[in-house]
Amino acid sequence: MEGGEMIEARRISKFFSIVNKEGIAEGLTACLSVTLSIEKGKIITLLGPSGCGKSTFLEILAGLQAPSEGEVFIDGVRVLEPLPSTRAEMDAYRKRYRFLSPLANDLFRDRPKHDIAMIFQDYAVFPWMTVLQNVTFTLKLRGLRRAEREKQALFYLNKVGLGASLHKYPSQLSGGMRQRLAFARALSVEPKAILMDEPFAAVDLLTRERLQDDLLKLLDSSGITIVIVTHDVAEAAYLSDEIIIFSPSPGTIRNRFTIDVPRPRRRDHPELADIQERISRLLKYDIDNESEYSI
Amino acid sequence: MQVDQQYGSKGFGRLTRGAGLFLRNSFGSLFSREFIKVLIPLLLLWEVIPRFDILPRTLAPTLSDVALAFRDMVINKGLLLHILYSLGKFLAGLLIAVFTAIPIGIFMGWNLPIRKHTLPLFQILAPIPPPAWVPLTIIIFGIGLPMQIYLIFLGAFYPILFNTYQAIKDTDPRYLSSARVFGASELTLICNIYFWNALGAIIMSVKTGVAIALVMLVIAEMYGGRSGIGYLLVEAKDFFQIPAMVVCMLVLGMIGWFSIEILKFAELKLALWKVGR
Amino acid sequence: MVTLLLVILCVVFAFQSTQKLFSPKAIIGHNGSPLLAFLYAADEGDEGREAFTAAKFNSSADVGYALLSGTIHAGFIEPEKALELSRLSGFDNLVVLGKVTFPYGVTVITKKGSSLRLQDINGHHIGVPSDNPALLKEFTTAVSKYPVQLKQVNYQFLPSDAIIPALDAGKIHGAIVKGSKSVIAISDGHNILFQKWDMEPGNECCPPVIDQLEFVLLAQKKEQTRNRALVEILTGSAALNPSVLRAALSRAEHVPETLFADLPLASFELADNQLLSLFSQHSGTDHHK
Repeated sequence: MEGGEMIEARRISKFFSIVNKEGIAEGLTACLSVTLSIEKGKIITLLGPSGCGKSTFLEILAGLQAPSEGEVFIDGVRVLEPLPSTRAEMDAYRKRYRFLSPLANDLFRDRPKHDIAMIFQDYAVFPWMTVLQNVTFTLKLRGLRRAEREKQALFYLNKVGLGASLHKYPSQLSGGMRQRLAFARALSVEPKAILMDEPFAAVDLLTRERLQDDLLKLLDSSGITIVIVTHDVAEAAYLSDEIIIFSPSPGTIRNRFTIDVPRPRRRDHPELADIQERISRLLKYDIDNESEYSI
Repeated sequence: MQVDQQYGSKGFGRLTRGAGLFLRNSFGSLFSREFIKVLIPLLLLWEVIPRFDILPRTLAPTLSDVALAFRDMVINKGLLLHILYSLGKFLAGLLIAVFTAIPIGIFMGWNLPIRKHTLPLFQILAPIPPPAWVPLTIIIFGIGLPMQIYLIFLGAFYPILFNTYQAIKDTDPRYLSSARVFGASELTLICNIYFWNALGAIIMSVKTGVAIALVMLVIAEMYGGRSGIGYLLVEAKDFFQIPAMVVCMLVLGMIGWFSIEILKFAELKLALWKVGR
Repeated sequence: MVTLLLVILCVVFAFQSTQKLFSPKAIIGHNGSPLLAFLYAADEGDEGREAFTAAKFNSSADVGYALLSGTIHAGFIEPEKALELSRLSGFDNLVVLGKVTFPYGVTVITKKGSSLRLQDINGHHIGVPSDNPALLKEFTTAVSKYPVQLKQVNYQFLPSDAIIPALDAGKIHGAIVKGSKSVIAISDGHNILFQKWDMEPGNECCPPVIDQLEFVLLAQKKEQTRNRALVEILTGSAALNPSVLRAALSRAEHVPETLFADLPLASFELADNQLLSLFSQHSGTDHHK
């Protein structure tokens, strides 16, 4: 493990077995031998059409799925050992995880294994808790005392602009405000890395651009490593330091683009447009030449 | 502000306001203006038809006969006391069912190995209709209070259990992922996520449980009870006291209606955070 | 509004038309009581099998309801319940055909192993059936001939089916029961402290009909020829050899004959004027409220 690497993934592969239409079990490769190193403080985007395994890869990075092969390290700590492959390994695995799956944290104690946060596209916030309670919930998991929790929650909620809706329920908020709440929750624990799975897909274009700007403002020199999964090329170009193109079946890293344009960027910057063009051509080539997508 | 100063903003004030809201919702929805238009003629017909012998009066009592029988039962037979007994048994059986079925359901929905070990047993026992349990229950518990509470408990238990475990099982995994990533323990998950997400379905299942428990209340009291509305019902039936039977039927109906209204009110309170997508 | 009225009218007509549903063979309802040995014997005999079928109900109240709706032709009901039935207007279509009496009169029983004597009954708890309080009067009248003090007796009124369990549990020291119920008590091993036999008609206390009367036979009033035939068959059956009756009873109840070997059998007779007047008095009082 080299210094400066926040997240490191080595030869991550994920295989599923599905039953196809004829009722025969088929192997599905979500990712094949993906190796990736992400530096501290960078914003990385995983880009690719739907169904190419990037969401799966992100979940493996977060520790929400176990890889079939390979290892992931977050700040030096390993995330989830790979699934067993041999018979002996499988027996040992079954014995260890007979009661509790490896995805679960401790039975009784709240114990964040890694200092990360995650934001999903939908279902990011809990509808039965108010805005304030949503944020204090995650802070409580970190072990803060009540007064501190409230203070920190209020601070970040004000930062995302939800200071006036503290006691509203998410169902009373708009889609954009809900995503802001998700940001507030993620930022409030002051993590080292934030993983986002298509965070802006559920909102309209104008809100999306607003949220993107707000995100950049929030992250301004905070040093948090960000990994975003998206299928919007323009978004990727606007936000990220590095774009990693995934190609489908099997999901592998096809290409990497580095963007050196300093922030704040203009959406119509020529270099961004150029990169977008190249990426679109690349993806179109993939669509024309590859046949199967599992969306 | 004025209201708060009058009743106090916490505690008693909230209680009375909540009770007022409840009564207004429940009675209001039942005795709406439209239904009153239908109800008054129906009541009149009820009073008139037996009087003119269109239906024989002693077999189809009029409203006033029933009202008189009600008064007689309250004064001479201690109807109110019997209602209290019935309510007590009903609530006891229901609460025991709620506080056992919900935890068991939560454990079964939360963890697959637990579910695999326990669910088949319940799936075998559940289809047995509760009235079929009566003879076995009498053998084990004898005739008396434990047998009656057990039968009521049995009626309410299975609907609550199955719906709870299913709702917990079907919790959207993304909620769980959201919490797990931040380090939530399984206990935190159960108390803060699984339970609240499933609460709507749980209350609906308790409504079903209440309906069946009410049936079992009557059956249990018929089989060797000495107190309660079911016992009064059977006694009236055995001695051809038709108006008294109608009084018992109406009282049982009211008990059931009231329980369902309380649950509906609880659901209303929860609707605040229901996500409307 | 109109549909509602139509629905109600339909219900009314349906109700009235069920009165006419009769099967060619008469159905006699009963509750399976062991006192109806003659009925079971008649059911087995050739004449009986041609004339009627015996149908068992869960309780005699159900027999009463079936009679009211016209689904059965005749039925045996306990006299207390039959008197209540007579208050209903459907009773106009019914007639009191016969009575079933059992020779044992009012009885006082005590728990097995108890050494309580009748003279010492004062101060003890004695159970009385709450649905047949006339028995208490019978008892006090019958006992008045003997030097027994009853002033301090603590009478507990319980439902009839609660009396023997209360005796078993020790909540009461003794109980006043109807004659036929004492048979059950004896088979459980309890003692009989006092029993009144063969009350004479014209007794100054109470109509003897209630005391030793176990069932009344009610029937549809219209079917007069059939009623006569039934009474004939049943009276004839009641006059059969006791061993024949006991055999029929053991077959009907699925218990060995030896159980009834020492016990008397209930007898069946045509309803006499006293019984008929009792019913017409009672039904006249609160028929039209």
